[in-house]
Amino acid sequence: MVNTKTITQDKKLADVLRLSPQGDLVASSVEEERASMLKALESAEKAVILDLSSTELVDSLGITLILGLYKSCQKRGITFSVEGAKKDIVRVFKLFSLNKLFPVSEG
Amino acid sequence: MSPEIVTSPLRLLFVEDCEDDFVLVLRELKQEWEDIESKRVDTREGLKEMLASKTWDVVISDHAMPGFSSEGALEVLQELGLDIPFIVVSGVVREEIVTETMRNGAHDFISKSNLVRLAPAIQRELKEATLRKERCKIQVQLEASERRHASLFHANPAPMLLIDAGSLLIEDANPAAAKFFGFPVTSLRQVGLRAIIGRQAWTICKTIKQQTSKNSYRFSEQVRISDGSLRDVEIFACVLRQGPKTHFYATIFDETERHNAEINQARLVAAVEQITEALAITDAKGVVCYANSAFEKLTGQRMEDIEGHTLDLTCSDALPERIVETAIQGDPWEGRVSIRTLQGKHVETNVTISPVKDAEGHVHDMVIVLRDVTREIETEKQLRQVEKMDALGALAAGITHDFNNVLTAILSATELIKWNLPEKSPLLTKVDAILQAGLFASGLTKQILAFSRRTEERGIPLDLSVITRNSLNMLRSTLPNNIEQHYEISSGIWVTADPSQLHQVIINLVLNAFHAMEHSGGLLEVSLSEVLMRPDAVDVPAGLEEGRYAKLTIRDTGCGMDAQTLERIFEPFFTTKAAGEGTGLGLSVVHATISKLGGTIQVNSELGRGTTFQVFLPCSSGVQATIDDELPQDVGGSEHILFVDDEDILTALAKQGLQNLGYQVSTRTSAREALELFQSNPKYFDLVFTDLMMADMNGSELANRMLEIRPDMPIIMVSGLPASSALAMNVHAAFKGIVTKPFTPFDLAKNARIVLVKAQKSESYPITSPDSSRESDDAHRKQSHSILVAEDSHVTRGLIRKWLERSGYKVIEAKDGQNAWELYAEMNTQAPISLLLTDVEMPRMDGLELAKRMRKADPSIPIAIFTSNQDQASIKTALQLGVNDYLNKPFEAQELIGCVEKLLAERSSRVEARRSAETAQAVRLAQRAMVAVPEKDLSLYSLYEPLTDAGGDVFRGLRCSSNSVFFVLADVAGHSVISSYAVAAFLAMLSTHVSECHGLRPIVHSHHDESEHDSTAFACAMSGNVPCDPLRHLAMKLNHDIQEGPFSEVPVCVLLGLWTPETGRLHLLNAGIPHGLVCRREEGATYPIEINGVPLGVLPKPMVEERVIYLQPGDRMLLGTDGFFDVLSPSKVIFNDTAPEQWNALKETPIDWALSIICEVARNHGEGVIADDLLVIGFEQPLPAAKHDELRLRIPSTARLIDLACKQLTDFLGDPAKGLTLSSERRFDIVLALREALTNAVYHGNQERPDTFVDLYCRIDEQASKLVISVTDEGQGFELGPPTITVDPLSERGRGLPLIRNFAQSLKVVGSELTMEFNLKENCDGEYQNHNARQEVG
Repeated sequence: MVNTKTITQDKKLADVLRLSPQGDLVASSVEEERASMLKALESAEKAVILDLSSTELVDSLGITLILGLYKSCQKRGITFSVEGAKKDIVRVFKLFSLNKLFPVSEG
Repeated sequence: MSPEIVTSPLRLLFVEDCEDDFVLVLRELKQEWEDIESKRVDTREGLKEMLASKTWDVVISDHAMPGFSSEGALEVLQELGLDIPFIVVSGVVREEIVTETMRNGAHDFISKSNLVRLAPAIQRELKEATLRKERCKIQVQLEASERRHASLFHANPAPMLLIDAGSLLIEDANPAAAKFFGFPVTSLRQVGLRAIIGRQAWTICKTIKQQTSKNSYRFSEQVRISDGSLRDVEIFACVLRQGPKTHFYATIFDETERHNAEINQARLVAAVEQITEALAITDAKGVVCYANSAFEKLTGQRMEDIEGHTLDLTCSDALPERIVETAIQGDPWEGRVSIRTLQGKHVETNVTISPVKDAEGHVHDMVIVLRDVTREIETEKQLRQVEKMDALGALAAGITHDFNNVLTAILSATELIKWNLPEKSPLLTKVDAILQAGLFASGLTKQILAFSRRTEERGIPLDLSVITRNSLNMLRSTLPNNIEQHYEISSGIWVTADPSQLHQVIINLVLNAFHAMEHSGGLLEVSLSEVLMRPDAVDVPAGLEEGRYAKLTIRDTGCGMDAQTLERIFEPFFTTKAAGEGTGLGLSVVHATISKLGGTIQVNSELGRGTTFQVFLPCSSGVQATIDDELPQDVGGSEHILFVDDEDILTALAKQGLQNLGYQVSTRTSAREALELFQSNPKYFDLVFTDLMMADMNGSELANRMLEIRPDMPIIMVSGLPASSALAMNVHAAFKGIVTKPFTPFDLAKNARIVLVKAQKSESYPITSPDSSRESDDAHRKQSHSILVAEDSHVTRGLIRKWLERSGYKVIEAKDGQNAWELYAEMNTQAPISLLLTDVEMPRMDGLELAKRMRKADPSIPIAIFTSNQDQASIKTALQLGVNDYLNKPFEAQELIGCVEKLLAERSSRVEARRSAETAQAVRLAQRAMVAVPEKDLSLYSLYEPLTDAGGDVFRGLRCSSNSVFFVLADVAGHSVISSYAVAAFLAMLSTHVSECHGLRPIVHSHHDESEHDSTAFACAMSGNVPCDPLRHLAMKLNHDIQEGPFSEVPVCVLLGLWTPETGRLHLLNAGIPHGLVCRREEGATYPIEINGVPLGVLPKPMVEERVIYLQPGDRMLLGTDGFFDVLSPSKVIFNDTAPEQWNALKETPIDWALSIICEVARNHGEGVIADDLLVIGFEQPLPAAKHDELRLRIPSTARLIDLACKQLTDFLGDPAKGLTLSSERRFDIVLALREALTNAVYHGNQERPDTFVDLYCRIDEQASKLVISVTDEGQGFELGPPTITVDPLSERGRGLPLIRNFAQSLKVVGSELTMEFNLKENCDGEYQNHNARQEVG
């Protein structure tokens, strides 16, 4: 599955960077996503929201990517959260206690 | 308008005859120029005068005048060389006149009727004239510049060339170039650039032409000059681009000298840096400015740390002062200095300090060279020791030579006296005492000779670890409890030596350690390992060359020794023990033995701390020497032996040793029990060994009781006393042989064989009356053997004759070699002799010459020689001449008779041996015609061609209940009788375990946990249920059994396989047969299967490797033992190199034929010579019927295809035809688990290599309750970690396995196959049971 990424600056909340991958975060796509997300992250100022509403699947490499994003944010004092995650994905996150690190909301 | 024209008056010279016309024209011009200076002339002279008087800007002339004309005026101007604008103003304007005038040089022609044209014409011409003047000026300058340039070129001291970049021709060369090249300029012009610098000329021109942006270039080239030599030059090329042509000036600088100087410099630097001597350079005050790497290596001090500091070698304070002193004196200094390295090690060095002086003789630098002479000093010391020992040895040998002769006389005479004494003579004990003392003395002389290296050397390749273990086992029980023992013995360390000598070495060293700790107790450590001595290693013991060595270390924590004692411990007769307690020969014999074997012994000791002996022995070159090389085949046998000794350890050792040689052995530790056993079935045993001293009944009595039951029973005495003492006890009558302790199994077997051969011979004669007739038959047989004895000593000859005659042989005496040779020739016609016994040193003809002649005359007659001084050279020569055996003087009757019996027995068996070899050859030839055969009803084909009828390879295949095929390829080491037994034992173990595991019967178990009993693990796999690891399990079992079994010294290479044709799954486990080929039909290529392992029986836990591969329809396997893949062509090319190609080429041939053909190819490769058994099996993956409850995929290793495979599984699980009722959540979990497994396989197993594949196999069981998914990659496989990995949420480590563990009910890895099992039905709680996972992620 080839993903097209949209990374939007939230109009209302100018300081919030919303990352919305348009597909799954799995082995075949994760490298491409990583590059663009880390680049987008440079412009983030106060908060980063990973919007997973278009994502059906996150595998272990995807989790590693998300964790990488979280750590980058943490280092720079930026809050990080996940929104719109599918039920199954939330289950996988919980398995690795990711929900204890940052807020994960189901959508 | 130019400013020049505006500012100055316009000077006009008119050539006009008519004043009016002049005025008219002038007026016309005045309209244009205010300031006009003008003159009018109308004659040639007038014109000349005016032109000479001043400078005019323009000359305006009428065309025709009386007496003058414009033509004439022009001539005047040209004569005077003046370039002044000349304009003709004429009333007559005709075309031909105008043309003519202009041709003559006028600048314009204007009609008087059209004077308005005049002013512009003047202006134009003035401008033109200015330009002309400018041009002229430039021309002059240019010429001057060219002249300067030419002188620069020609006078330049640097060689210069002007070169046409297009043609490469030299267009000009300066005199310096001519001088440099040694050619005149004209020749240089002809030769062109190529002739001077060769092909590089084109490169230079190309560079110049292509890089148009640059104008100067620099090249480093070599040019050839007229004397043919090459010079290194730098060429500066300066480019001249003129239109289409490109030239360049090449200025040449000769760099040859500088280059040479640089090369020399670099050479010097490299030499100094790399020289093996440590070298440092200091200034005159000893401050270091340079140190080479050898210096760093020797002292441990690094250049960067010591640069700029005074040279400081710690323990030699004198050195810096010495340097300064030497610098002042200006003369070199040499001496020995002990330095301490940075690591604290003391090193003895030879130091040279050389001052380096400048031209004025002032010392500015100091060169310090250090050479490590520690080893030299050590070697010198050893050499001195060896010389001392040699001198002592020579002395000892000299004494013992004479002493032996005396002893022979004493012993012989004493024995003669004894035989002639009545049985109850009171003198008997006294005579025995003499005999005993004589024999003891004989033993001493043997030891002395051993030390002086004059004993015989009969080295055979042997495993030192076996000897060491045996020796330690023997001693273990004798060491008191206060000595703790720690042994670390590595197996398979081969050296070439006499086993009994090594035995003695070990015993001596261990006893030495024991004595050191006798009172205080302590720790005895013995270790054996193999070490590699490299020439550059610092710790190579002195006297050893590079190579592999067996290193035997014996360490005690006893009283230790002081330096003085340490110096002398290897000297003969030096002992610290009280008089009478030790001979002082033990360690000197050890030293001599080790030296003789090319090894060395080192000793370190500290008073009160203990002593360490380190023995280094060169490993035999033939590591491949199989285990049976250690033991000549003739000592083996299959007879039943009863071994009686009240020492448990000894009976156990003897049993193991004899069993190794093929004997069946029963043991008893009490004489009474032994007698009972014997009584119960006297015919059952072929031979008895019995200890002499036993608590309940002595050996002699036991022997007599046994002989009462069965008089022909061969019995051998085992005695703790020396053989001589045992003999002296007058018990030898009952025994057929004596083995003295300490013995080796080889000693036992050797004696057993001698006695058994004797016994078998006796049996070959019909026995009518067991006692008397047998003896007479034996006597008759012996009488038929005539033995020729050549000996110059009358006494010795007489004694030998007596001994032989007493044993019933017929003896012919010869007083020397010549006599013997004459007797032989005489005898040969009537009663040919059966054996020759001869002394070596005899008058007229010596023993060696006699042996030589006899061998030539009749190669079948056995020959034995007597050597009186154990002269090594004579023995060697004798053996080369074909002498069969030798006896060292003094020898005993027993030894002589044993030797004679053996030689006569061998003579008769030699014919049989030849016949048996021929049979083996015939069998092999017959087997060559073999073709591949199917294995029972299995689609498995094999071809086996054994090398000999002993030992060899094994193949077994059997069908398991699950339609899987289990097979074993095994290669049992060696080709001896022992190997044959080992093969039999291995087959027995195999069948035991396979049937124990119910491998041949259907299994009803449906599910087993891994932790269940071992045998069921194999069984459940054989039944095709949950994949556990049956092959690994079986390998463990076999390894254990081989180690515990009677043939623990015979390792077995094994390849186990489990093949399921239905699915194509092939599980291979390798322990030492790393060869397999798989031909992939789809790809049309054959690949080797790389798995490794260590043969079973070698290590306590087997090291094996496993692979699972999925065969596709039409794929073909070829598995073989070493014998097949290692076939060598005469040009030493191994068949393994071409086998894949050959197997691939046969992919269209029916599999059984293909197998036969590839074996024939292997034979042809070796041109008929195959050095090992040849065992090959092959099979082809059939086309399995498609099953609706299965999903099989083979995908290349790319991430994109993971998505595809997951999609397929999603569809497969969602297919209504499968009848699964899975929640979407469960399906998500299963697919995610598969995704993780595939990601692992693609990224880790196959590392994304594009030529690799991942196999996926899914199956739903019949009740639709379980889904099994296997993912197999081509990697090395991995081990599952413990199931309880705590997951740190912050860790970025792979989460694949924890995820799978969470979702799958079981997880298993075999090689690189990961198998997951999923429950498809919920339990009553609505959950899929999974204990591990909850625990793991909790």
